[in-house]
Order: sequence, then structure tokens, then C-alpha cells
Amino acid sequence: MTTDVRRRGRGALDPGGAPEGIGGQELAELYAAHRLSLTRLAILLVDDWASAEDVVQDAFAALTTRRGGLRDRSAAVAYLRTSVVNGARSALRRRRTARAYTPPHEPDHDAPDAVAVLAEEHREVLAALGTLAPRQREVIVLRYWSDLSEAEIAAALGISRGTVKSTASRAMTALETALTSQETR
Amino acid sequence: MSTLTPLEERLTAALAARAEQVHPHHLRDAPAPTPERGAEVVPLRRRRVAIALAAAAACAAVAAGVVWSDLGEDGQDVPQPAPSPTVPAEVPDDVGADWGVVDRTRLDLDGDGTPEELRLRDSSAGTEGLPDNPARVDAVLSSTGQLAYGTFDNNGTFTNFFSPATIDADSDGSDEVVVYRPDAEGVGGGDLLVVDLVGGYLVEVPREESAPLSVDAITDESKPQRRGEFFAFATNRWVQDGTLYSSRSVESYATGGVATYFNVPRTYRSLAWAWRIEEGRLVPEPVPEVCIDALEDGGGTPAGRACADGETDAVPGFFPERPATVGVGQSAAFDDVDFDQRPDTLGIEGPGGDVEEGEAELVLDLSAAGEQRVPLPAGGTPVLYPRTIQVGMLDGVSLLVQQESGDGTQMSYLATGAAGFAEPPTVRPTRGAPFGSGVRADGTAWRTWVGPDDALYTRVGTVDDDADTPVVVFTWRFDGEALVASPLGTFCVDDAAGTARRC
Repeated sequence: MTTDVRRRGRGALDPGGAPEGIGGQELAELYAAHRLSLTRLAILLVDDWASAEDVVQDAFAALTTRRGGLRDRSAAVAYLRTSVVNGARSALRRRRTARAYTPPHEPDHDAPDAVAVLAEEHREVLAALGTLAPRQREVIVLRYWSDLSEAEIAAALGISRGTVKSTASRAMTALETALTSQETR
Repeated sequence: MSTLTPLEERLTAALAARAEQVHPHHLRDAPAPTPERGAEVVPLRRRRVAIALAAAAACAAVAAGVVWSDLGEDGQDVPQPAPSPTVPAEVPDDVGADWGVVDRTRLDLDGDGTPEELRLRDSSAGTEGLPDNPARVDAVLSSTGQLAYGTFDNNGTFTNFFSPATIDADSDGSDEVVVYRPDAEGVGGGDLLVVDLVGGYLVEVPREESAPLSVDAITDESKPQRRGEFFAFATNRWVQDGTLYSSRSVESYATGGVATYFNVPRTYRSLAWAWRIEEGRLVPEPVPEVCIDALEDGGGTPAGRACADGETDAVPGFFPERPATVGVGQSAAFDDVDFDQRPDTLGIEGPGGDVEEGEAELVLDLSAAGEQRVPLPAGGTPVLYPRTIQVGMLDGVSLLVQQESGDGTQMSYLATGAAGFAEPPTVRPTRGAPFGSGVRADGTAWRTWVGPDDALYTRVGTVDDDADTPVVVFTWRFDGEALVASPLGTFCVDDAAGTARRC
């Protein structure tokens, strides 16, 4: 667990101020342009279609309430991505807490929940990915699907680059072990 | 991205395939949240962080509730990872800063990528005595340069960091440390505790008790005790890839009783749990069963591994049997029976064929005690096993003589008494299971043999058993007076083939 002695920030923001910086038109454009890719990111993290859509919707909703201006659209996308990662982690935590969790519905083969229609090779890798700790999975997805740099991943997850590196290394070792274990069965 | 390894290529392809299953037409028909609607439906979770800074050792700790938005380096508002406990339930006493360091380890407590040296201190350092309560851990955090410290109950005995000690039980990229805390009696039990950095303090994470994490076997209450012997589940704990695991054997095994023993197989299946920190508590998450391989030297903490398909508890090495080879009129050089680092000679003297009590004698020519003679019981022709029989704690001569007769095999176990080598060994009574080989009128059949490890085994079943019939197998322990049977479990034993399996 990280210490809470974080960057104190220049000029703590007034939590009582009115939303500013993101207008309705700009938000609509962001929504149209990035909703699909963010939903894809979310489903790689939570592996459940309904949760993935909720997480993304929550991220956009959160953006509407942020206070203080964003530098530009790329900052907004980074903000959304981090919100999705955080939201996915919360969803997984809630799922783990509910020990008898079952997916909200049985997916048909046309739905994006249908891992079953993927090639066996991909299913094996995704199954191994599912064994990773949430933080490890986040680093791997952001690295190998979102194609982010270590610095970008560090910023997205609020951790150091060194931690990104060590987490990725542990995750790859765990993946290799899980895949080897699958192959020897 | 630089050249990808094969694993990275597989990963990239699988993630892309999964992501590309999501098409625009799958997205539900939901409009973009508006500022107003968004604010009503899902307000942004702003971190309200009450910080508690551990001041330098000389300073009092200062706790202050501060609310702010986390800012990126460029001043941008950046959502932070999911909130975690930020204030310890109880601020630890700042005691023991001047105690000596009794253990140390390196780990990244604050998650900044730079490991800290974590020191364990107690009041015993530099003294001959036991420590007082509590023990102290402290480290200078690399991210702030501030001293983080904490204390925990050490049961008034010697604690140390577990090996390996570093875990990340909340998957937040910063480490926690695992500490081994023996119980107050200091006889091998105890428990593990996890210490985490919370609000600038090092605190013991409270633990759910729904799965075992203590360093003790767990009594199987469903099986009866008998003469101090009872059944218990074996437990283990290990750290692997930054996760703390614990396990409890699926089966329970005989333990205690006449000597310090625990009939745990060399490999045994176990239920297992991964320990996670959820909402500030250490909680067990069930994981697939593991197989535990006992360590060669019997010490340490073996880690679990994935069981092979159909893998069961290992079968003890019952076979091949060792034969009895020293007959009447013969003698043989033994290993050092009397522990004086000189070889000893043992043999049997008497008439051939069946003997009356005392007609045949075991003759020991011990380098330490000279010649000793032990009269043997009436029975068939006596034959001696030319090995020291392993029956637990050995403190002298430990021998086995067998005498075949028409209706079975009589076995006599001889052991040194309290007088040591000053007196000859005597034939000892047996308890707990039939000894030797034979059949009773009710059809109960049994057979005792010496295994390749020079231990004694007895299978007990019925006269109609075949190689596919489960029988109970016992091993034998010497309690100083008698030889006592201790169950190992149920097996299918093929005597002719010299094989056994669990069934």
C-alpha cells in the first residue's frame, strides 16, 4: 500500500466550484471518438461486457464533474483511461467480495462476452491473464494492448516507472508459468 | 515497441483478438453524459485523504486531515488508484527506537520503485534474555525521507522476517512485509502477520480467521484420540511471486502420541488460499488445490505446486522389503549399535528348528559393553534382521527377530532399557495393532515387514484381501517401554509384486 504522502499540488482545487473546462460539445466528441476503445480496454480488464460498459459510462460521467481545466484532449483521454482502470479495479474488487459472483447473463456467441469463439491459442493466453493480480493485469493490458510507454502507464496507474517495470516483470513470469502449466496438463 | 518475445507476441495477439470482439453495434444506446446528468448519476470520486505523517523519531507524530485533489506533475487533475485505508486504526507507540536491530530486509514500502531497508528491533538485542513486548519495525521512506515505524505484539519471544518476506497483497505496487511470530512457548508454533504502511505508520493488518495462517497443525476433531495420538491436518505457508499463500492438507494424519512424529506423506494434496488485503483486512481467497512436497531435511516451509492430473498423496516407500538373514549359529557385523564408533557383532545361538523359550539366545558382542545374551521366546527357528530397526527416537539397541511357524510369523522387537548398555536389551510388548503375521478366527489378517528405510510396517485387513482391497497400514514407534502402532492410512498393497497405491 502506498504512503499517502503524495504530491501536494500547486493550488489545491476548490471542491465547491462549478464544473469547467469540458463543455457538452467537447464531451460528446470525446464520447464518440473514444467510447469504443475505452470499452475494449475495460473488457480486457474486467472480462465482462456489462461491467465494461458501466465502467466506461462512469468514466465519462466522472469527467463531467472534474474541476479545473484540462490541458487538451489528450489529457482528457488520459484522464478517462485512468478512470476506466480505476473503475475496472473497483468492479473486480466488488466481484471478489461477492464470493458467489456469476456473470450477469449467459453470452451468446455473437456477443462480445463470447471468449469461447476465440482461437484456442488466444483463450489460453487470456485464461493465464485472468490469473494475474489486478495491478499486474492492468500493466500488461496498458503495455500490450494500449501500447503505452512505461511513463504513460506509471501516470495512468499513479505509480512509479520502477514499479511499472517490476510489476510487468512479475506479470510476465506469472504468465509464462501459467501457460506452461496449461500446456503440461 | 522493440522486438517482441514470443510470449509478448502471443499476448499482443490475444488481447487484440479479445478487444476486437467489441464492435460499435455492441455498444448500448446511451448518450454521452452531460455535465449535469453526469454529476447526478456518477459523481467523480475525489480522494479525501486524511494524512498522518510519521514524524522523525524524535518528533511526535502529527496527524492532520487534509483534503485536496491529486495533481499530476503538469498540474493536471489525475484520478488516483482506488482508495485504501489511509489512517491506522491505532497510532502505534513510538517505542524501541534505540533497540538493536535483530533482522532486516529490503522492500518497496512506499511504491516509488526504490526499496527501503526495513529493520526489526526488539529489546533482546545485545542481551541474553527474551525480548519484552512489543517488537518494532521501522524504515526511512525513500519517497519522503521520513521515518515510518510501527510495533506489534511479539508474544515475548523472538520474531523474524519470513523468507521471502515481501508481498503485495493489495496489488497496489507497494510492498508489505510478512513476519514470523512464534508462540509464547517457542516450541515451533506461532503465526504469520503482515505489516503494511498505512498513513505513514507500519501497522499489522488485521486478519480474517476463516482460513489457517498459523504455524501449527490443525487437529482433526472428527477422529478419536488414542493414547495421546490424534489426527491433524498439515499446514504450510509460503510466498511466491509477491503473494502470501497458506494451505491445509486435504487429509489428516496421525501425530503426537508416543513420540514426536507426524505421519505426513512425502507429497500431499492441500487446500490453499492466497491472502489479499481487502478494505484494510487480510482475507483468504481460495485458490486451486496444491501439492506439497516435504523438504528433504524436514525443515523449512515447502511451497505448494500445481498437482498433476490425478495426483494423490504419495505412498510411503514400503518396498522392497528387507529380509531377515542371520540364522541360528550365524553372526554378522552390524553398524555401530552402541554408538561408540566401533563396529559390533550380533548373532543367534541355539538348537536348529523350533525352540522352547530360552533355548535360543541373541548374542550381542558390543564393543562398548562386551558380550550380552538375550533369551528368545519359544517359536519357530529364529532369524535376525541385520539392521538397526528405525522406530523413532533411538537410544540404544533396536533389533527384530522373526520366528516362522506353521500358522504365521512371530516377531520380537528388542530394545535397550533405561539402564542403557549396562543391561541387555529385552523383548518389548506391542500395542495398537497385531504384530508379525497371522490370521485370526474372525478372518482378520495381518503381516509385518521391514521397509527399505528400516522402518516397520504392518498391513491389517482380512484373509480374503487381494491387491485391490483397501487395507490399513501402520508403522511402529517405540515409546521407551513398548512398540506402538501408528496408522499411515488406507492402501491397496500387492505383497507379491512389492507395490502399494492409495485406494
